[in-house]
Amino acid sequence: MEIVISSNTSKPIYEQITSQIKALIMSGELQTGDPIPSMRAMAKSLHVSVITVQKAYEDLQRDGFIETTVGRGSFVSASNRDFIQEEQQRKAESHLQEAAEIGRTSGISLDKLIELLTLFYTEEA
Amino acid sequence: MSSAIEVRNLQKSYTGFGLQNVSFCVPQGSIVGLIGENGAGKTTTIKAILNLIDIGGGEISVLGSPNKITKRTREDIGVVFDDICFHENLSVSQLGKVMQGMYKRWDMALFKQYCQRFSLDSKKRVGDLSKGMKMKLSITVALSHQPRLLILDEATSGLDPVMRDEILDVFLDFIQDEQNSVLLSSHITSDLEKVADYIVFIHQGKVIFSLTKDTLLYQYGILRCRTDEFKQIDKDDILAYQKKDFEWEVLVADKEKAAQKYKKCVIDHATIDEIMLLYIKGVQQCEG
Amino acid sequence: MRGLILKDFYNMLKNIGPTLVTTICVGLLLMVQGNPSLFVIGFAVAGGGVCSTCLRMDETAGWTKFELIAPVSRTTVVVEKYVLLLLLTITGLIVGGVISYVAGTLTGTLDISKFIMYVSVAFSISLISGSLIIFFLFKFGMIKADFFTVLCYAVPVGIFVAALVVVKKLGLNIMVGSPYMTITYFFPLLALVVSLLTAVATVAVYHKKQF
Repeated sequence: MEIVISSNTSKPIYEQITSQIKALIMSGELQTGDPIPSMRAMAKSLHVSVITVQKAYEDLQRDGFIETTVGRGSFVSASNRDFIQEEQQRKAESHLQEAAEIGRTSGISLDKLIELLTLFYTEEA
Repeated sequence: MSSAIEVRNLQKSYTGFGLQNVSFCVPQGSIVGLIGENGAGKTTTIKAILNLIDIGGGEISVLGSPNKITKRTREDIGVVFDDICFHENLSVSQLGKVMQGMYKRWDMALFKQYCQRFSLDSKKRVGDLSKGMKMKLSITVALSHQPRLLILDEATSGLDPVMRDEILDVFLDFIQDEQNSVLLSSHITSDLEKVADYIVFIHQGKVIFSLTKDTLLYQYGILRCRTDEFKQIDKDDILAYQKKDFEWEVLVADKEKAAQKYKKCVIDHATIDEIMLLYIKGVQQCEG
Repeated sequence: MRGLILKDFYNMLKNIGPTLVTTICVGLLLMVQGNPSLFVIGFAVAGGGVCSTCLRMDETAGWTKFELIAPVSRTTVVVEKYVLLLLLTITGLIVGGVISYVAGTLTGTLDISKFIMYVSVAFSISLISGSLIIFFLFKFGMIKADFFTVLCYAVPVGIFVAALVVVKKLGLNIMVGSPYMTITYFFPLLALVVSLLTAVATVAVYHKKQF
């Protein structure tokens, strides 16, 4: 499992860790039940503070991607990957709905919104 | 034991200087960085923690021992000062044997392992080692008696980046065991930005803040603006500010919120150095 | 304490050269004086002197700072120096004593009762002067303590001379009919008492010291 952290972007390191692990799980590189390095081991390898990794793991656990058991470590959650995909899509939908509302009420054109969405989407990659 | 070190309302006066109500803690399993100018009170605080000086007030608890640290607690504490404390005439291996006679949990095999890792020749006299090697030796000695707490006072100043990186790795290894903790007083804020979990900033004998490093690096921000924009800024949002030649610099606690609120101004990341400088050279906005 | 003594032992090994040379020169000078028994005093006092050198080396190296954060009590730090003083005095006594005895026998100048008195005087002077020096080193640190060094040697020698005068004048012949015997038995006892009192004072002083 390889994670690449940039210290230069405005994206906090814990978010980078979270999104990269999520991507690995979604793409299938990490299968259900696969172990993930302990928080401290991850912190050591990435040369970051334990608290940062802790936050990342907590977020992943909250979103249902991993499960951490005391004494056994962290593993990719048994949750169905499709279910997670659906869940994330639902989240994206609600955000988009909000954006559409704002656009409608503030007079921002649909094209402009699409342009912005494209910009954000390609920037993330 | 949830804290390796707990300092509550520490007071200590000397003529012309004093520690006032210094409070912070080193949670077990974490690395805490202690920052501040020379003369701010970092070394005095460390001396108070180690019971090298009497204190004027407050409580200090180290490794669960509520009063002054005892001989037994010192078995569990490894200390590294900024200058070496060993006789120049002794060889590295002789020093190891001396330490074996001083610490109950001295692990000679571990000592030799670290010596090898740091390329410390066992036959070499301490006096013949370079400054960086002396520091590595001090750290080796501190680690080889299997402490639960490492305290370092400016131990990495004067070392080149390669050595510092090696040493930081050693600390990260050290806290793989959750029972171990590190208190690291340093000027080299880039090191702390790498490995610290929490940062405690001491200035003129007082604790200015004690926060997670992530809060400082990702939530704090520096707002730059012109005079008329500065006047519009809500006093509650300002932690500290300074007038520069062509702009005002304002330290804010939440840069996302500030970016939303003050759209005309430039908001930048803050490095730990910049945060320190704003507090030290700028004007601190007191709350209440 | 084991570690501390080992450290002093290693340091002495490295520095023994100059000390030995000085002592031998002093001894030879004394011998030229015509009294080989004085070798024993030279060696014993030199032995005691090595102890103060060890303490000074500790301060120069910054070792005293390390001791404060190591698991040794301040009492042990002080007591170890007194133990070292005793060990070194006895070593010097044995070495010097053997040389004096042999030299005395060879030159036919050996006077047993005087020799025994010299051994006891050597023991006492070394112990008293050494104890006082250790006290001043712990209390004032190396630089200021130097000021008191001469005093530390003068005191026991002064006591010895004064005692000799007093005992002769008063004709005190306790135990064995000779003023020399009086001194031979009581001087070392006095030295041990002084040493003990100084040790207690040094421990008290060191416990209060701030760094």
